[in-house]
Amino acid sequence: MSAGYGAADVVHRISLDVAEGEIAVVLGANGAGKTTTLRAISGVLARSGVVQFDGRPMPTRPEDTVRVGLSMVPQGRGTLTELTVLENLLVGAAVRPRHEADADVEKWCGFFPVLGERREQKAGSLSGGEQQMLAIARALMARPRLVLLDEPSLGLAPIVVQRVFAALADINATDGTSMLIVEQNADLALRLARSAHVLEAGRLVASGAAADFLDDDRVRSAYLGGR
Amino acid sequence: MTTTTTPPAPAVAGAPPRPSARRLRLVIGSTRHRLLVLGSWLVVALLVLAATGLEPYRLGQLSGAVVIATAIVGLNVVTGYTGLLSVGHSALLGVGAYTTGVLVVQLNLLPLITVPAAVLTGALVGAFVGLPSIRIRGLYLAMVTLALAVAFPEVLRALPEVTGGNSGLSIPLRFLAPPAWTGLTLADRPLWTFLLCLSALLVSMLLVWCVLRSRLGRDMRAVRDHEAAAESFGVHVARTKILAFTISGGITGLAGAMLAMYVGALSPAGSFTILKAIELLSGLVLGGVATQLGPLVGAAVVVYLPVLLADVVQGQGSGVLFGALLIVIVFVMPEGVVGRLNKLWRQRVDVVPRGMPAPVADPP
Ligand SMILES: Nc1ncnc2c1ncn2[C@@H]1O[C@H](COP(=O)(O)OP(=O)(O)O)[C@@H](O)[C@H]1O
Ligand SMILES: [Mg+2]
Repeated sequence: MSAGYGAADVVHRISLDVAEGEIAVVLGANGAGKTTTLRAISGVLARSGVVQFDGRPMPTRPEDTVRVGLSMVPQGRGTLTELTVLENLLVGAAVRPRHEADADVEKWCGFFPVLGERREQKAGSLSGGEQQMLAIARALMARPRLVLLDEPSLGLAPIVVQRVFAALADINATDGTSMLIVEQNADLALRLARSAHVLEAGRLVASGAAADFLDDDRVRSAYLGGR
Repeated sequence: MTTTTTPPAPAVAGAPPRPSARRLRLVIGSTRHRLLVLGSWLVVALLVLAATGLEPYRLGQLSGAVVIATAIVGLNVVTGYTGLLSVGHSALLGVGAYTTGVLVVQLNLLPLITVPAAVLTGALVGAFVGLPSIRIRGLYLAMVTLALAVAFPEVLRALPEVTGGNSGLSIPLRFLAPPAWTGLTLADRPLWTFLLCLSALLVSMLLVWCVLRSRLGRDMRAVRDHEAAAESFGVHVARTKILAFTISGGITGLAGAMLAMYVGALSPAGSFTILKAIELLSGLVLGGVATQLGPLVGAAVVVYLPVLLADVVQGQGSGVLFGALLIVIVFVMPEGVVGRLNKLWRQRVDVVPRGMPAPVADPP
């Protein structure tokens, strides 16, 4: 797949797989094209090449990709600030029937109690960490089979990042939801993921098992700035 | 790191409870809540009753304010709740007004019968304005509305056989008299017009109230808060914008029809230049963007404040003073009058659905 803005491609002929139930991570420095990749997969950006989901071509409009089971935790969390926490969750469930949405609100408010306590509050009044929980819960409201997460650790304190990643591990283990996470925070992401890819200036330069990346100091220092 | 508990376990420790000062708790459906709602409606009914007793000139002025309020209710749908700046609502108001005017003058239809047509043309032109949002966004959409505002009076002038051109249209008085079934006479026309305008306002506010509680209303506010994110959640952004413009156009067209009946005479230079669009925007901002009562307060300010100032200051000075006062109000209350009142209310009162647990830090 390739994608970009206007005539110029930013992401060049990248190729990667996410197996069912797997967490995959794409690592890359600022400006490498991580966000562009996710936006192209979800249909927000135009793309060329082939993207397949479950053996079928991935739809090209975001309304349709959500409907077939893909959802997005956007960079910067995408909080709908003037909407309540509950409304944010319901926006995520736009493609689901109402009774399923109501049941899922209870499920995720139980999983993230902070959201349950604040469900009638404006989402903009939540802390950064709470907004990240909300973004994850919102994405899950669509009952996706694959969630794309764009730098879920961005701007969060290390302890909060740990909680977020623990929650992701839990959700993946419990519901078997596949995840494609892009991150600059290599260590935690590599511990969470099974497979890993490295994106550099819009090209995939390495792919393999996440554990290998963690163990291999040379790979880490070459691609990840020694983190 | 890799917890694998089967039932979803709370992964996040709750933040410390928010400070809850002495706040009033109002449970929806409780006796206290019902009494408050009932009391508010009683006040509204009494105000309306008092208004009908006003002398004809004052009542006419009030009808004018009610029409402006209706137009601002329409503007609020796109600019307030969907976050799309429109400087073209003077044209939508004009489309409604001229639909009524033309149908009455050219086809001798009763004004009341033309109201649905005015709503429809307003909605159609609104949808047409919203259509470019499939391709363009941000300020470019505002430019489309600006073009509409500038072009509209020229279009009226270019079609003199239909619109009366520069000199406009004047609706014969016999069409504006209250119909016989009302039992009102021609002398009661200000009262009749006022009741019509008020009904239009209430219907518009009710419609917006319903829209806000629907999925469309939620999508509109999602698009306003974070368009790119809303799109990635599967919100159909272009469709939401077009629908918002359609509803907004319909309401503003309705306001136009009421304007035609209240004024009785229409001309391109009258109420349908970009100045009117700016007046509507000022009213919306002053009253409170994205609030349901803001349009009422805003309309009252833009209609009555200049009149009051003209009594105090002679000539050009009053216009300058009006502008200065608007700036002061916006500076003191950037969220508008109703926006500020809502904020104060929320700081003191918790309105909670029945069955919500009381906050921990605040034992009952
Ligand atoms: N809206 C845009 N228009 C044009 N170029 C963009 C846009 N967004 C990002 N880019 C460019 O695309 C490249 C990759 O950006 P991005 O995908 O956001 O990187 P990352 O998410 O890895 O930090 C950068 O060089 C950036 O300047
Ligand atoms: Mg990015």
